[in-house]
Amino acid sequence: MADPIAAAVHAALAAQLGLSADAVAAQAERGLDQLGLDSHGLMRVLLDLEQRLGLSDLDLADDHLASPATMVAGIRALV
Amino acid sequence: MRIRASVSDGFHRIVDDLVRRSGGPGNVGQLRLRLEGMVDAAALARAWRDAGRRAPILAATCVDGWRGPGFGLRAAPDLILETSAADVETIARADLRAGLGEGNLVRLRLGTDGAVLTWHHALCDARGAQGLLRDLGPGLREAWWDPAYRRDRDLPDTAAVRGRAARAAVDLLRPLRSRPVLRLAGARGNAAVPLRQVSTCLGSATTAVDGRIRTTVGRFGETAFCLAAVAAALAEHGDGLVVFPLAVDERAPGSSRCLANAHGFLFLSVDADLARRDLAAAACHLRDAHRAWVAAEGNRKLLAALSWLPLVGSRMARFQLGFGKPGLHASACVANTGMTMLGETWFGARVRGVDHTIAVPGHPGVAVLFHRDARGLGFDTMLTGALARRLPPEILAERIRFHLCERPLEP
Repeated sequence: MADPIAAAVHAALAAQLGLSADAVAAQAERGLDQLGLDSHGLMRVLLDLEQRLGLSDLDLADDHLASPATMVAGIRALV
Repeated sequence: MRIRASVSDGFHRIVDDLVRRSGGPGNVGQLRLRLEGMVDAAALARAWRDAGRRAPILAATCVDGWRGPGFGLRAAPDLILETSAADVETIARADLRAGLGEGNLVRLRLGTDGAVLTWHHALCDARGAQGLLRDLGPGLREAWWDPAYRRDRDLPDTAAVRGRAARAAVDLLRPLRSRPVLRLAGARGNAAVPLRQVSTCLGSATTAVDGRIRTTVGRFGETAFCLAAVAAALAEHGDGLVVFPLAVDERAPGSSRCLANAHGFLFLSVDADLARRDLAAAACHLRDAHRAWVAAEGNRKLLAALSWLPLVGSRMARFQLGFGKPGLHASACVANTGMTMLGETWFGARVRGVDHTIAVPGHPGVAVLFHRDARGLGFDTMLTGALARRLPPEILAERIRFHLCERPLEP
């Protein structure tokens, strides 16, 4: 069964970066900055994730903002 | 043929008016390419001419009419590369003083030690201008005729929704009126020219600054930290709310649409007293304010308000930008362009670095532009007219450098 957190992270990043969710999943170990994310984009992604996952005030530690994979791990640790 | 300007374009036209009112050349930006070695001038001239043919908007003029602002396309004349025996600084100063001429959008001049691109912000932003220089010639993949080309990502589709969002924009900006805004003494009535600029490169200190950014606001906190450093430097000259208007690039990463504005607009503020006491707390406050603005759909609301421009005139938008007074309702114009898009070489010459300039409205009369290139993190500090005499940009730049690099992060 697909991981709903990973699916939500990949979908939110895909919407912001103009990529497909599959393309984000394929680059899950790459740095978010290398994928083209900036601070404004990150704000949008975090708010998008709050809506998708029904979370409030999603606040990830700096280490969890390294790549899509670390974002998934960070959110998994929070919920 | 006429292309209707986007709402973001409209914002830049209003700023153009504000700069001209204080005697400036309009809302122009400038890239000063510091080059080493011989530029292949013939190839550059060919590429520049071809760019005009591929993207005729480069040779368009700004037009106004009852339908609002737009771009008038003319039978595209060849863009001419101008060469000069002067150095980059001389060329840049002359271009900034004279402006681009009525309605013109872009000019490229080659000097003895580099090149100067001067452009109108209605055409594009600094990243777009860099993209243009990077892609010159056959690489220019502009599709300026695409109907979606100048569409604002966040603008509501229907007039009814736009109306509600526009009304909400007033509530969003109201907190910025609750306290006096910190402005440098002498900003009122200050002329936009002559403008004085100093460029600062942090070089090897960049690594240390990156470490300070990571420990205070995290890996995506560069802009917030830079804004806090500017706020702290300004706070040595007054009290009140330090207000920064920011335009953020809403284009998808890697977008080839370099000759377009697709901006989101933010007004971020921090108390001067907080910036004076605790740099890290000020940076965190600015980061959180950015997030709160995005969560409140601030960009959508501001674009909706600006979208009524053709119907109700520029009065409403100008009121929002200046709160009924001339000039931007801001303490300083600050931008962070990020990493330069140019490669290591450009038409045969080595790119040593790129400095940025904008024409600043006389009020607030101060601008700080952050960017990165091979030299590391850098910033250009500009002050206009009487302000530059009261506070030399070298001194303000040194204070910003101190806050970025050396100031203890613990209060």
